[in-house]
Amino acid sequence: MGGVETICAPRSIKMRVVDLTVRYDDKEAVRGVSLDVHANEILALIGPSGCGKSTFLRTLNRMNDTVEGVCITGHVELDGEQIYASDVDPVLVRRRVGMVFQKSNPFPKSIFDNVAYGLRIAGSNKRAALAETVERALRQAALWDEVKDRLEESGLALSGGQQQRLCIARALAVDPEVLLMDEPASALDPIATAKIEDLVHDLRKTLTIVIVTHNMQQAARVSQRTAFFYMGRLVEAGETSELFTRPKEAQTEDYVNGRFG
Amino acid sequence: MAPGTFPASSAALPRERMFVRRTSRPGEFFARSFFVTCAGLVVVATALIIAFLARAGLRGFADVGVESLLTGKIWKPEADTFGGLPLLMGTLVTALLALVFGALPALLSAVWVNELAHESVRGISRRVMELAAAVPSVVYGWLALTYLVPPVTDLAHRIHGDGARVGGEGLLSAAFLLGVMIAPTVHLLSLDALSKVPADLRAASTALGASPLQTALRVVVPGAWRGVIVAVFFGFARAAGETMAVQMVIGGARKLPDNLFSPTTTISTQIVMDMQNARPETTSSDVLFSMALILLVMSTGVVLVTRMLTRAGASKKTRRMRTPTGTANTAAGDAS
Repeated sequence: MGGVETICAPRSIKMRVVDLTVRYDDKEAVRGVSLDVHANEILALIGPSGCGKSTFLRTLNRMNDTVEGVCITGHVELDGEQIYASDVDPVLVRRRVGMVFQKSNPFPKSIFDNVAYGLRIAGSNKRAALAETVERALRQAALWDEVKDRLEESGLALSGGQQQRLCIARALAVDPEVLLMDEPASALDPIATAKIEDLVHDLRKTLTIVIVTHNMQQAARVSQRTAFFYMGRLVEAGETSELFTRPKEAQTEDYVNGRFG
Repeated sequence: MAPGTFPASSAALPRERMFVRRTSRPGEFFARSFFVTCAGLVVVATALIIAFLARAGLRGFADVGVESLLTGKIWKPEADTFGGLPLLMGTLVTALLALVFGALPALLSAVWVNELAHESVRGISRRVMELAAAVPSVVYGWLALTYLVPPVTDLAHRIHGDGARVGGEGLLSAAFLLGVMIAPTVHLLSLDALSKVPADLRAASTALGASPLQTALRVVVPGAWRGVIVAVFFGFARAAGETMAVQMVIGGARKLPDNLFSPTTTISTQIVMDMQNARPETTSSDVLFSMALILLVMSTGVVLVTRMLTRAGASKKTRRMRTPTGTANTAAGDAS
């Protein structure tokens, strides 16, 4: 379980979640989950639909705050700082913990304006500085070569895979420390998926990534650690290679061997 | 079909005959005729209204002259003087000011209710606005005459002195009243447009560290601008056509306004005032039709401009979609 594994973790802890419970009205979506996210790792969250993995992900940058009737208890820390403390501005948390969604959602603006959005709302308006960051973010998202000649075109003119990489570039432009990805490739074809996976792999050098995925092979391919959720609980978390080959819990074994889900 | 090519299909052939039209069904025929007749009547009635309006209106233009009706400054049917400018100006100025007093707050409050306020506010405000939109205009006029005109009179005299020909019944009261009257409709239409902006765009903006206000102003309002333009223009058309309530507070002076407190008139109110004395088929009657025709052209123009603006945006987007590698669309990000 997460608690034991935390103590002997050798690497520095980027985010720590302690006894987190999320309730929507009467329904408990996440129940008493404790889990650490290590710096510069890719942590995969797996589990069947409705197991609470996406809800858990969205507590890490306080996106659940925007949902009516949600009730969150427990602690979430970013670099040792409580992000649910009463004096914390969720807007500032989200600038440090970025997010990419399941369905690509570029703004109906130009490619440039999409990537520059986060900088502009943070108050940066110098065109030269913006251009530099936009190029850096698009390069990081492996999209620069495909769009450098048409930055003023609408982001909606791109293909599905390009749109998703645009959304990743948009999230990277504000220089987040942690990137949350909610099934970022589930709507894409295998080639576009492979590109996203390569990208995630490269981003690990500079970022910490938590990725929710339905696809166990994808979890095995991209992540160093994996956490298995079931019915709102964290069943098991550990090194990806361990969890897939020698799971400690019977439920995990059944799931990774495709016996349910 | 060549026999032998698809031997199995010969068995299926008789079944194809099932799709041949069967004998007529009388119920369907009557229903269809009924609907076609109703739809036709609407079209014919509209066409006839426009035809009669145009016939009499054009006669009025011919009698008095286009120039007089558009630029003449004195409207005096009893002296056969038909200068339409005061009416036109009154209509345009009151409607435009109504946008400032009514449409702007209505739009901003719609943004607040839809994006920033607590969910419980949304339901209440919608019901209140629907109620306000359903209040008959004469009630608004009476309320304004009772509660708006006296303080505006005080204000007018304080600004322009007691002797001046100003008062509470005039341009400002009419414009303010119109603003109040169009606000609920503009608010509700804006609300619809704002709520149609996809939730995942809001989520994207929020996740990038935007405050609710930034998300509202930079993502939601630009995403809803077509609907918002329709709402504002609809408000303008409504304000330009409103008659009863305006007549009660505008003062009914057939002259160009000197200032915000001047009594003046509008096309629709002047038609109501003059029609008792206008015998059919006379110039004074035809000229009223001419003014009505101008009003019709104005509101049709507003509709056309709205449609052009909204369609221009739509076609630009599709053009961009069709030229993924094009260099033609380098004009700065105007979709934003």
